[in-house]
Amino acid sequence: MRDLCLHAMNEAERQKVEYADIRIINSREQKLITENERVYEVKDNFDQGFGVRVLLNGAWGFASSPIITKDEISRVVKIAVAIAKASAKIKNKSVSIVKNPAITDSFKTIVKIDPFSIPIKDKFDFMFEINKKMLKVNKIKKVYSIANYENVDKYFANIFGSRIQSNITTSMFEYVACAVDEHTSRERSHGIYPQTIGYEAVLESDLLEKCEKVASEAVMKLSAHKGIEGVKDLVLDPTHLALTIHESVGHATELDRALGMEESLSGRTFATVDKLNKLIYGSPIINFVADLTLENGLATNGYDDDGTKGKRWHIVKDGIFSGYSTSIDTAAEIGMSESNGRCNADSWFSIPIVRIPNLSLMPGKDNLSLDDLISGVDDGIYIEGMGSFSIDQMRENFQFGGDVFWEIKNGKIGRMLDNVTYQAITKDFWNSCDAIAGEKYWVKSGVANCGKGDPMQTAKMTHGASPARFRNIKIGGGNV
Amino acid sequence: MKSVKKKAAKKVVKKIAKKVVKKTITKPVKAATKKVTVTNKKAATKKTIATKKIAIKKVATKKVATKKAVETYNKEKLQKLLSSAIKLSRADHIEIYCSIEDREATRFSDNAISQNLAQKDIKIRISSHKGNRVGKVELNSFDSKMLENAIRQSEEIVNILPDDPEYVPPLKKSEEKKYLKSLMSIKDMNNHLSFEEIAKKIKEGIDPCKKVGAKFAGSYKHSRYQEAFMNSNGLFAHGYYSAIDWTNIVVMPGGESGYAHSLASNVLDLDFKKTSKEALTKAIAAQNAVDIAPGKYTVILSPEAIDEIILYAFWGGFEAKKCDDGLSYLRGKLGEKVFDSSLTVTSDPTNKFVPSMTFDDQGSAYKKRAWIKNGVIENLCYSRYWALKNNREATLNPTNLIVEGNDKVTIDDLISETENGILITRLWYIRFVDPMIPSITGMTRDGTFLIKDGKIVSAIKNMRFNDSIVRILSSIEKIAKRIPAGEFLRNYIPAMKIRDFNFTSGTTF
Repeated sequence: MRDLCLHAMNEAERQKVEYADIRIINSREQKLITENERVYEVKDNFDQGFGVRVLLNGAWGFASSPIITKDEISRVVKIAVAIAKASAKIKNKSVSIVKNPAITDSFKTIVKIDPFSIPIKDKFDFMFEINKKMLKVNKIKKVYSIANYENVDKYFANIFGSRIQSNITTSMFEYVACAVDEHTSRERSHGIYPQTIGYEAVLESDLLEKCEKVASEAVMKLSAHKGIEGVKDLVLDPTHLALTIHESVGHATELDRALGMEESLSGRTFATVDKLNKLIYGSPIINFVADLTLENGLATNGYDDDGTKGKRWHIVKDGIFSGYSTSIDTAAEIGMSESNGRCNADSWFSIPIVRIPNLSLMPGKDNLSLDDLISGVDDGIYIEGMGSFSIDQMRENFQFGGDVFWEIKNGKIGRMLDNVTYQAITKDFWNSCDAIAGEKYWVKSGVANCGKGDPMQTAKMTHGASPARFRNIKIGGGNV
Repeated sequence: MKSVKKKAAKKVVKKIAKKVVKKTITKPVKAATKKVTVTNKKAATKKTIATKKIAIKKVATKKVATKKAVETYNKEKLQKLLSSAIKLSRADHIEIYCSIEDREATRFSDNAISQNLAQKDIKIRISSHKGNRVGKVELNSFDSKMLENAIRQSEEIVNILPDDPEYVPPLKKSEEKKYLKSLMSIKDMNNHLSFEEIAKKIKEGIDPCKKVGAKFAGSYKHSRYQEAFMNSNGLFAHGYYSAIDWTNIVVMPGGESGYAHSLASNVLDLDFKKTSKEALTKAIAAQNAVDIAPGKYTVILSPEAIDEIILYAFWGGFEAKKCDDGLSYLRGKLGEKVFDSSLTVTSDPTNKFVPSMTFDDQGSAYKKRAWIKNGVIENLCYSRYWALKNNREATLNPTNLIVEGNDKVTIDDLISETENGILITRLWYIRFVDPMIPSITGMTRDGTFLIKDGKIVSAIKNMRFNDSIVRILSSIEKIAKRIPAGEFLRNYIPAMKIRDFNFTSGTTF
């Protein structure tokens, strides 16, 4: 790999490029799904290829190929150079980049048990055990267990002399119980949040222990109280907050969006560059921290695809908007001396773009418990898990559902509610947060299929949080 | 994070979706008259097309080597490769599906190219059958050793699987007789622009925007696929698929935006300037937007907006097995009237405006189908297994959605006949709220307009809606003529006038 990378960089230098990098990737993904007591899907996917990016005449060019040979690399470098030359014909100004120091390093996910070393039969046996337990619950008509194991081996080299090898292993396991009665159907899900970790995450999980409770809650949802609306307080569980953080903070603080580069698809953001270090994003107790060194984080890859070492920084500090997710070119565009380091591609096939990092709501400082939060609510709802989600292209007006909803009356959890939605404007929502539970209640969740870019790319990232309380939120817009 | 149930629902279109880039398209609004006109792709003059042909021919000599992948693997070579691979099988049966992709993708914003790519990939899926079990392995190389390893791996997997009660054996060679003649050919693959030519097209879009202080953004994508399938029963299928998207957004100095999108299979059929002009005209009209109160309004939904709603109607419930399991809003509704009598939806792989592949990844032939006829659920999507079990024909999934329209009615007619209403040119970020109703939420985007006494009188700020798909498609007042539109599938869709569309909140822009 090292020789091939050097060959690519030599070829690029011969073309007198201002910058070039190559990523050579070999990956394997195993996807297993069981539906009730049958194998719904079993697929082993082996994938390889390389992508070359060049900066020439102040413009980018990128080309990729699945054929990893010196001749093909030479051909693809020439294509990338030709594309950069074409790009340079339509530019306002030359692209500049912040220069990372030349690094030789490697990074590997700490894995106790390689998921690919576990026989597929054993994996399926575990999945069937879960499915059978859930199917014993009356009115459960359909259950699915979904497991996904991935290993990505990547060699990165750039023209400045960086040579970085990484080996990232990801494990994911989720199950869904579908309850059916004569009127409708409802589902409830649970899983280990996707992590960069080995099969030990499955073995050490509560998956088996919780599956009957999850199935029972799916059945409870069939007769949950419907039609809740009005203005109420919310207490949001970390498994739910992950998606709210993702959509209303993560995407809103991507620097490429702020610079208009996502205009044609994902849109822009209200968090524009002129508002950095000024905008009151949330109440003073709100701290959002991006952390690309987070243990088992989905975006903990050692380095990003610009070759920037993973770091930790504030996106919102004490309620004030204070940082972006960046790449080497977007960081240079706003005068940063270095990138925060979250520019990634979803494969060798794709060009790196700015992505949401591991991004977490930090715990409150008052050591409050979940019960403390709930006891302070007269009329509200406690929401667990992810559900419906929608947000405008400026990341302001959002509406979220959830997986399970519990009524709070006079400080106590009461009956289950059906399919609640809440709607708010991002800044108003985070400013309405008056309490966050303490560190003891802080847990990680995540998003394994974040879509962005054109052509569309997916990305994975972790979002941690403690339960948090929000005052006077509009409920029930989704009731029709 | 989507549940498998939602994934299963989305499977209706997923096979084709991966070939088609996410897009919706919007229509022009003339600033002077503030009336909306409809694009007629067929209206391009012969002169225009002839001029384009010359342009393409001229740039053909400059084409980069991305074209090679298509040329390298022709039908005969793929047949030979798949045939050799099948001989390596030790299983009872083997199926091999492959897809070879080439793509140019250029993205621009702020009047400059921001991203410019040439991508190439190969996908090979091996399915080894033993007894009533199937083991699958995917790889992206025709390297003979890797291919053999993958076949062995699929055989190892099949050996450890339990029996599948829903197993179906590979199709017989006679399936070939059912294949429709594809409208896409090697010509659609070979007519592609060089990156210099793409840059030129973008510049032609930028220049008029600069004159009014606006910014031109968007993308040009041309994805070309060559697909082949072979199984150990001797069934062989081969075809081409070409999808071009030209997406434009114009942003005015105040941030108001206008959007337009054209799609085609052959680059000669794409009118670049017309699309960029549509986006600019609409952006100009979108200025000085006013607030409206949430509530129920008569709306005119552009073909692009209707396309999204129709797609969600299918995602939410047309899978026959889901219906029979009670997991779809269409459970027990086959043969019943669910939507307005004016709604008829079919699919046709040989529709000349939105042609699609004519076989799937198991070698099954796609046919012309009626899904909704005069509001009645005419057909559900029966997989091969579920069809066998229920003694029905396997209807598979739609490869495109063709909604019956009225060629005599334009979107302008819909506006002029509306006393009080709203014109929605694009919907954004639609998601299910309750798929069993099915209710959805989403936003308007890039040009929403107030109609009074048959005329557009103002732009309005963007709104969030929450509504039921069944209610929307049961409240059709009038249907206009159709255009090609599509986010996931390439569909042929009309604009519609709908009663009581439910807006629940607004925005500041």
